[in-house]
Amino acid sequence: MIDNEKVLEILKNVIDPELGINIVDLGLVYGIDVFEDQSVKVTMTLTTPGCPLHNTIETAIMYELKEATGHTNHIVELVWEPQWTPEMMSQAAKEALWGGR
Amino acid sequence: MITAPTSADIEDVKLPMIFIFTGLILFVFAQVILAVNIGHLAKGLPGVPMLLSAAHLTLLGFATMVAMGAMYQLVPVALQVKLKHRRLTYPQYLLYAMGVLGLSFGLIVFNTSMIAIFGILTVTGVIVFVFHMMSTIRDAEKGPIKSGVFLALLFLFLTVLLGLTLALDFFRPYLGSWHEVIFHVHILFGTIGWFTLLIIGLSFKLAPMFTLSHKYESRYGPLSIHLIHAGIWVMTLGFLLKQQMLSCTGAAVILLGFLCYGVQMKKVLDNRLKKKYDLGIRVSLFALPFSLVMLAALGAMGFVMNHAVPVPALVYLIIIGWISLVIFGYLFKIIPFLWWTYKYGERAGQKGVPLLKDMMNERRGKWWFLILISSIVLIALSLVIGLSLLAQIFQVLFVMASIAYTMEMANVLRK
Repeated sequence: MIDNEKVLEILKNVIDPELGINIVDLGLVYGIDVFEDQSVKVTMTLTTPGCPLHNTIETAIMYELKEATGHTNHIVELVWEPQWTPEMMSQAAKEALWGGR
Repeated sequence: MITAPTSADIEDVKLPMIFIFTGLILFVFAQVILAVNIGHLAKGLPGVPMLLSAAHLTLLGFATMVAMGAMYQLVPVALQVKLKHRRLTYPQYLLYAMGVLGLSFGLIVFNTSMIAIFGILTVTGVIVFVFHMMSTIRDAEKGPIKSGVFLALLFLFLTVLLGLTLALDFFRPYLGSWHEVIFHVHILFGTIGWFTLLIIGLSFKLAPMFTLSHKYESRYGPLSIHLIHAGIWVMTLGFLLKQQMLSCTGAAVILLGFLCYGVQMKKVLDNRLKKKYDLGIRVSLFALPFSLVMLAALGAMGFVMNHAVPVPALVYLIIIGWISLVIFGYLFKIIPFLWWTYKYGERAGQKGVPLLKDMMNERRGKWWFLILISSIVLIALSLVIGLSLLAQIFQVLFVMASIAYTMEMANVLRK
């Protein structure tokens, strides 16, 4: 059985290949819905509209969710509102990017 | 919440790669031709057929070829639209590549029939590309990126039309003294209208994206495009009316546009989240202050030494020190990016999958860029002073660094 917290942990395995930081710490994940059939809907954004890594990150999320649940019945919804801002990053991500500035 | 559009278009890396590597190989060929014939340039004779061939191989075979490939990939990303006629892409490549190769060879042997026939093929390839891109960006949201790309495409179309006009004049002379005027407008439209507006337009997307910059003031971006656009037409009017003062005013307006672009890039960088940004991006951003300072220094040298504007050195600097250097910088980032997406995209985040920064050897890259930039400075100085032998020696060094750079890029494909 998985729940929101477990999914959040799973999503920490998905690394933005440009920044080398996981998508949860980057603040890209806006919402997680776990349904009765254990399918998951992840609502997320990207640091910039039209980021060319969109498909790559979506594929990585699907891979990680399949590894955890054993099926592929999941949805990744990409949204642009609310717009991502640096304030959405965790302290760990800020330190990785700015060296603790 | 708004669901974002998805695009399978951006996943096809084969297409841009074919354009980009064709361009890099043709760049090396062009530089070899220049190395053999640079003496003519040092003597102030830029119009000899071999140099015309090298110029066309550099601008059409390399810069435009790479720009086309990159635009097939970047325009859908930057403007969030889909390519409208994907079926046209490979035939357009074949048509254009054949045209440019034939045209360049025709210029080497100065066969007027070849120049005219392959010139028409090249123009057709460009028209197909411009049509495809124009119909692709039509639905995109208004903004400086769309404006820059639209104007660049317009000037590309006008540049090749003027080029064809000049080529046909070689075949059956009819332009008389207007040939030189149209030649100047052709160079202006190509270097500033097409390449510069494209570089600037796309940089408004690429620079913030690669440096992760947010919340910056953005009014200088559109201003830079308007100023450069206006300056091009004022300068053109000066050429057509043979009014040097008007041409100089146009050049000053263009320069002002460049400065606004510089201010805009500074605002982007001041608000970046990535503390350290990649070598390729650093080189692309460095190309603007580098070429502006060099243009001023070479212009001043020319006046002091010969009481004249050192036109060949300045044109060389715009083509190699500005356009080619910006492209080299961006390719250092874009090629690993495309290859990583193709090879590892589906396995992102899994163990053993490299990060993007692991795809490129930045330490070696720094050396190639250092040699390339140093050679450009030394060649440009040799051209102003008129030292053919020195220019040739430094051009050979430049050729070697270009080969090393191209091999470094090809090496990415092994990772």
